[in-house]
Amino acid sequence: MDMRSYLFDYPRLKDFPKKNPVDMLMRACEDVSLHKLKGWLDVWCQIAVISETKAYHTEEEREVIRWFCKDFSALIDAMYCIARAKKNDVAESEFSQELKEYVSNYYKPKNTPINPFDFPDYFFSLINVKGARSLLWILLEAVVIYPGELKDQLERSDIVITYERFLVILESAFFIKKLIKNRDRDNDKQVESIS
Amino acid sequence: METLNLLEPNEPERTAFLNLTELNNPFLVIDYFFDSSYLFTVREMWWDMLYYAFSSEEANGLPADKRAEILYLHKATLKIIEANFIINQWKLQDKMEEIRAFNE
Repeated sequence: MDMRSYLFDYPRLKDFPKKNPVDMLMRACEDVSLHKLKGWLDVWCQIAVISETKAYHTEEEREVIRWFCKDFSALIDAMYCIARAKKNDVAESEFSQELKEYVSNYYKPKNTPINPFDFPDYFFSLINVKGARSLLWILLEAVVIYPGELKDQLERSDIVITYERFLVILESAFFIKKLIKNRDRDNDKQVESIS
Repeated sequence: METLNLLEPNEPERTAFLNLTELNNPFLVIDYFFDSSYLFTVREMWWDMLYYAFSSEEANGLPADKRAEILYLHKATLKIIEANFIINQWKLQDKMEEIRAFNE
């Protein structure tokens, strides 16, 4: 395969359309399964926390990365659900299929699942976007300098592309959160003006 | 004369790309650089370099320490660029204050 076309076929963060984050999200998710995406994140997390690269020196730092990966994995679930539902304008019945899948995979089985569109708001109430970006960068560093073999069909040449996918998911979630907040605010204003 | 200067390991501290004017006033380089490019664009291009470096077939065969070196250099160079950006901002502010003081 021609390397250049191979690289340019992937969604690039620099093409990120701020006005339509869902488009970019769809591109980031369309050629990869949810299982693979979450599997890669799991591998990255294990490498960062368990490996001898010592990306994290203290147990507290390791705990932060474990916590982040768990919640980021759930964010991937929610964003993937949105991306697949929005793809080709699927019918409402099919979206309910996506929702069923999302609910059955929900990471906190004892809790009521948060609506995928509301999940970004929940996620960014736990960590701000800058913190999440920097944790993703730390994960990238740990994986790039990891001397051992990578598991779960993760090639070394795919690391940067995978990082961009994670970043696209994160940035899309952030924009979706902002879009929903703005929409709610506009709705509130309309209600106020009517009343 | 601009050269890669890989053949002179005995002179590791010698500059290779600065001409005489730039050697006498290195701020010219910083000024010119930020006059022609935005910080965001530079970061984007620099990320592309890393992207291609680690996405190539050869990246699979790179030893861990080499990969670590590339990543370190990537981050360190970005930090140097951003530090120079701040220095440039300070210089511009100083210039503005000088002009203001002169006008007063």
